[in-house]
Amino acid sequence: MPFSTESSLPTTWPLEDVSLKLVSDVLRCSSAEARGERDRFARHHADEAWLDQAVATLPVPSLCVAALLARNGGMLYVPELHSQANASFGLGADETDAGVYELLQLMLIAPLQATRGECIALVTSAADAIASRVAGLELIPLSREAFVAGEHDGGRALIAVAMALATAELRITNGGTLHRTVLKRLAKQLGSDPVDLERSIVAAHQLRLVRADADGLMSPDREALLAAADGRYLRLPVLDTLAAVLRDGAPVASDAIDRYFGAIEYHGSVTVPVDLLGRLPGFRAGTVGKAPALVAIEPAGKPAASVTPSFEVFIPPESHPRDLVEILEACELVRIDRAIVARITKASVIQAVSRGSTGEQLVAALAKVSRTPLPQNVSAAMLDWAGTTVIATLARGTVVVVPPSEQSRVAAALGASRTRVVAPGVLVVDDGVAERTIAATLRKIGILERVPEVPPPARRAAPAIEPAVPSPPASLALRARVAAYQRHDPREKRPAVARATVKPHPTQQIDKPDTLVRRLERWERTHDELLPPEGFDAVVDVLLRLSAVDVQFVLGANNRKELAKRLGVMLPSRDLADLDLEVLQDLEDVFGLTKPQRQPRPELDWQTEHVLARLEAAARTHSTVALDLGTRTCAIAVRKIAPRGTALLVFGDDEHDVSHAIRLDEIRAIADAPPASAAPAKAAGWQPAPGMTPPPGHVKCPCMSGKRYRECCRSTLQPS
Amino acid sequence: MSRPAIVQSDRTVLLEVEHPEYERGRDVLARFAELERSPEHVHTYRLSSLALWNAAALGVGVGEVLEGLAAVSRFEIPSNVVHEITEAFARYGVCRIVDGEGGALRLEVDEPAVIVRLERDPKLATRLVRRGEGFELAVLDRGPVKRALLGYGYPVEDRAGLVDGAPLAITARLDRFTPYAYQTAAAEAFARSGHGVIVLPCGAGKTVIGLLAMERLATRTLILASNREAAAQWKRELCSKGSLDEREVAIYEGARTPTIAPVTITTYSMTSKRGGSGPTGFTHFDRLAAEPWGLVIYDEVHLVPAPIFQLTAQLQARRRLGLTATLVREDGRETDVFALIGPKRFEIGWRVLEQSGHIAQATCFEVRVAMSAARASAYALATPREQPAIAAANPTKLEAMTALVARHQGERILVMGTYLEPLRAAARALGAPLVCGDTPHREREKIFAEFRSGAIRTLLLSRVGNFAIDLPEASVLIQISGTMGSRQEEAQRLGRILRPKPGGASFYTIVSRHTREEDLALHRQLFLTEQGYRFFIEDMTQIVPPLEAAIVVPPGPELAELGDPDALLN
Repeated sequence: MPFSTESSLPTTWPLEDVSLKLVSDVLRCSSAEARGERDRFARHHADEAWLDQAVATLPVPSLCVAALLARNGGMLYVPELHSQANASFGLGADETDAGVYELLQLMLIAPLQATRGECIALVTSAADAIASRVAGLELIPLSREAFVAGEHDGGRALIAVAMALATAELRITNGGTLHRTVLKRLAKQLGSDPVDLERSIVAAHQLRLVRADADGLMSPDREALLAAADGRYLRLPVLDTLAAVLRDGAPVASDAIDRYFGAIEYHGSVTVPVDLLGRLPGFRAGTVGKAPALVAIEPAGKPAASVTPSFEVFIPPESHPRDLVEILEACELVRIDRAIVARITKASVIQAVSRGSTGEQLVAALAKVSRTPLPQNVSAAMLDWAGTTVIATLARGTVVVVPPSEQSRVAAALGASRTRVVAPGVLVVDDGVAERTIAATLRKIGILERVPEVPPPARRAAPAIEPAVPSPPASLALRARVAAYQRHDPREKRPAVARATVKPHPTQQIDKPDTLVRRLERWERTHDELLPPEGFDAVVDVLLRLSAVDVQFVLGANNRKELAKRLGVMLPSRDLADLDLEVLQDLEDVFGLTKPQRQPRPELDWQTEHVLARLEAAARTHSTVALDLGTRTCAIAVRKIAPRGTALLVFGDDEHDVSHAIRLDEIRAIADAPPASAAPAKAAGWQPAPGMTPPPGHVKCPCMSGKRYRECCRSTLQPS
Repeated sequence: MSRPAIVQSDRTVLLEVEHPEYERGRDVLARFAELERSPEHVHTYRLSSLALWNAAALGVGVGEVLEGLAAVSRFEIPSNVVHEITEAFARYGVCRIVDGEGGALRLEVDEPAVIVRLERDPKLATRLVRRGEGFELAVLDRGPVKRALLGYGYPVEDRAGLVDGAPLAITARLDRFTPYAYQTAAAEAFARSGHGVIVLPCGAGKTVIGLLAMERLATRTLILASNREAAAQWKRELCSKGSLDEREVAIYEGARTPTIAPVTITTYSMTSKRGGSGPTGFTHFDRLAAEPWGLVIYDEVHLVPAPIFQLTAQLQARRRLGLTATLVREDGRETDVFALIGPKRFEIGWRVLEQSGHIAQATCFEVRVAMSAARASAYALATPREQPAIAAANPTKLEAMTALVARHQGERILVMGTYLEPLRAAARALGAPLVCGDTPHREREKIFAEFRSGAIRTLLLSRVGNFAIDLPEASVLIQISGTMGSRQEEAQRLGRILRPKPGGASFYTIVSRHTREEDLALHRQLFLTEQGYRFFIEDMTQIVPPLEAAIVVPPGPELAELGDPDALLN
């Protein structure tokens, strides 16, 4: 019997599947009445007022149990429930059981018997409503008076660093680190320590305030930054939730926030260190007693920037963080310090224009955030630079499209003999002229080039992985009740029942919960080992929610480079270096869950499959397949295949710049080769199939010994 | 109430001008920080090592500096700044030059690490002789050793005596003029230390300060000026405002007329001519250095050429006064000026004197003019070397210039430029004389005199008019081209029209649109905007209304006629 899919929590139990026997046992009613009672509770669970009342009257341990179930996806094994209740709320086993009992009385949970033992699940009909009311319950409010605020710049430095990436040309290298030279140059320009700067950029990337394109080029996410300046985190809703929880002004211990983050499903590796939180707009770090704590604050500020006639902009700490985004949209960052210093330059204005702003908008934005009138020469120069910016479009590399008025100037600059005017403002340059040369020539005469964006080819949709949707926070009153309970406040009564007397009713054996592990496994089965890009986006989305250590268990070696590029700064470089991605290990060790035994997968999947059949199937569905060409692997979204002599031509969108033609006999030989499992590789040594090109000596031996091919099976290869 | 300053971790201090406590902040910072920029709204001070050492020399303590900063700073002072200030003060006085035995000097060093470094420095090995706990050095090596130690980050406290020089009785003729208070204060600030630089805006009367300094020291004086015209002006001023007669002030003009008088004026180019068998290899310098000068005045000290720095190192025993309006050098050798001539002793901002009426109120404009399509194409195709000349020779500039001259009809107008052909075309268009490098000295003096008298109301000047040309009646300056991005040239050109006059002064720069001139103009204006000047950007259409745009202008030289851009420069 499956878990319900009607709730946003993945593992809740439908109330109608709760047996009538259990209902009668719990409610001490007759079997005949049980059905009516179950229906009555189903109606109650749909009634918001009833739920409010229920939450208000439930004892604190029950609320805690509900919160733990919610943050674990709806279900917990009983020992884990006890353990987490103790760690998060300091509840003893008896108190936890009593809490369970009270929840059972309202039919808000269902006891289940799974393969590993007893577990408790929220019932589907009330799961979302309960989860939304108790989320963040462990964020116990501390005394406002005892909070000692630490130093805080309102998140301005982080925003400034993120905005500086608009012009910095900083990339994530293939090794997954930031480009050192550019980083050092930027650090020198801003007067920052390179290590601090790198940390800030990594943080901004983790918080999705900056993004990296397919080439790893980093750029600020202006929309996310504007929201962050107001204390909202568009791309990381969990932070929004936290801010909402803390916004009542009461500080919360950093430990509790750490646990809160750690407990949220999918959130593992992106856990934001609390000391970083303190550097964000909307949060302020400090201490209560001697323990670190955090409060949410409303980002505040006033128009306080000063623009001088020498085109310098001084942004004092009194400025609103949002002003910083507005200013740096049109300016070049000069220094991050107490007062941030920026400079308006022709290049910065032109770049802002190329991003879609107009001169009037830039001037108006600057005037709005400035406490003094904008100097006339500054506004006039900005309008002039913006208004006279000519942007040429470079299509197919050699077709230049400019306003007709600029046609003769551009033609003269590009060389009249090498240029043909095919329509007003449309010039075709000889093929022999490199695109780079054309762009440089245009820039020389003050024209910015723009390459039209080519829409990416339609691809099969990546497997959907739902993002973690944070629930609204528990109210301060509810969290205050937990705090009072922990203080043994007499007003917060202890549960009367010392231990639940109702045993969980054995139900049908349930499958393993459809949690992250299941999704990964399913995803892994349905994809080739080499991931298509959209698959990467999806898996990266998942990986972000895993801890850094777990990453190595998920992906194979072929993807390491791409993974490293994508993950980039998300993971500290030392973690990436430590990753051993070559062996796909059993996930049981990581997640403590059983997993069906499976034969070790051969390193190259295609060896055991009928390649031609797969290719033909792929051609019918236009899907992506992985092909191993001996020395390299490629992924091709196949559109058509056609045998030509001894070669098999595969037509499609080559994702990895490899030849599309594969020798037919080679493919056939591979396809006809016995599966790896049929011929124990280790015993006999691996041999290439007839007609197959053997792998190079330095790659891992296909026999899975872990040694290099030349040191393993090639050395024992029988000469044919 | 919040305080007016923000101390940055790079040792700059930002002071808000509109803040109610601005004046208090300014007074506090002036004691130990150097005013770097003073544009509208925010002034930037720097807690440079030199400024801190100067403060230390004046008896200001580290505690006083930190307390002063804390009193005006809105936020806590960055810890690195506190550390660096303390460190800078700790370094002051570690190295001292005192009088030694037998006319030599003695270098005393308290820091063992510095002693080791000095002993191992190959450049100083021949200059320093270890004697006991210190070093002995020759009088001539005083400058190089001071400069080397400054390079180590240790200022030398120079306690050795200065040469008094031969006496000279000179007094300012107060019956003919009354010095301004700031001039007296500047002269006193200099006389207290005996060496240093005074920074005042153009037109603020730096010659008078030189005269007052000479009066206080009463010693024979050598004056180094930027060119012959400037030398002639010095002589004229000294004779008219001082008690010296014509025979006591000489202009040293080389080997043919090697006139040396109690007050001798010469030019930098003359002094830095190589030759002769003297100790330095600079014939005229050796000749002049042998005289018993008690004071050397460096006029327009920002122009001091590199050989003069080397020679100045030889003159460390003489009192040295540097005078300038623009202590900015595109080669970044301001530090040499401080090390060898002396630190800044007195400075007044341009806008301060403007507000007090001591210099004219100037309004600055940048007029942007378009280029014809043909010229724009030619510009696009030209090499970077040729481009400035093409942009400068834009005929539309002449239209704008003519319109501006018409706008200021009746006023005395200077038109200045760098490229000669456009200047000649402008001269033809305006029917006005042009003074350039080819113009003989006498003819120049005649034209200047006619301009001063009003016989000529519009005058065109090439780069020869950049410095030290005293044309106090000029109230409008139109700059049709400049030497790349020189901030100094821009400020000096503005200085030509800053003599106080009713109605103020107007300064126009005409710039070809969509050319590098726009960027260069921005850079040129930097010094003035940092001094608080505002530039207004106008479009050609605001200057020349469409109907009036058809002013007949002689055709400008075309690209082919322009030839080598270098040949266009005088």
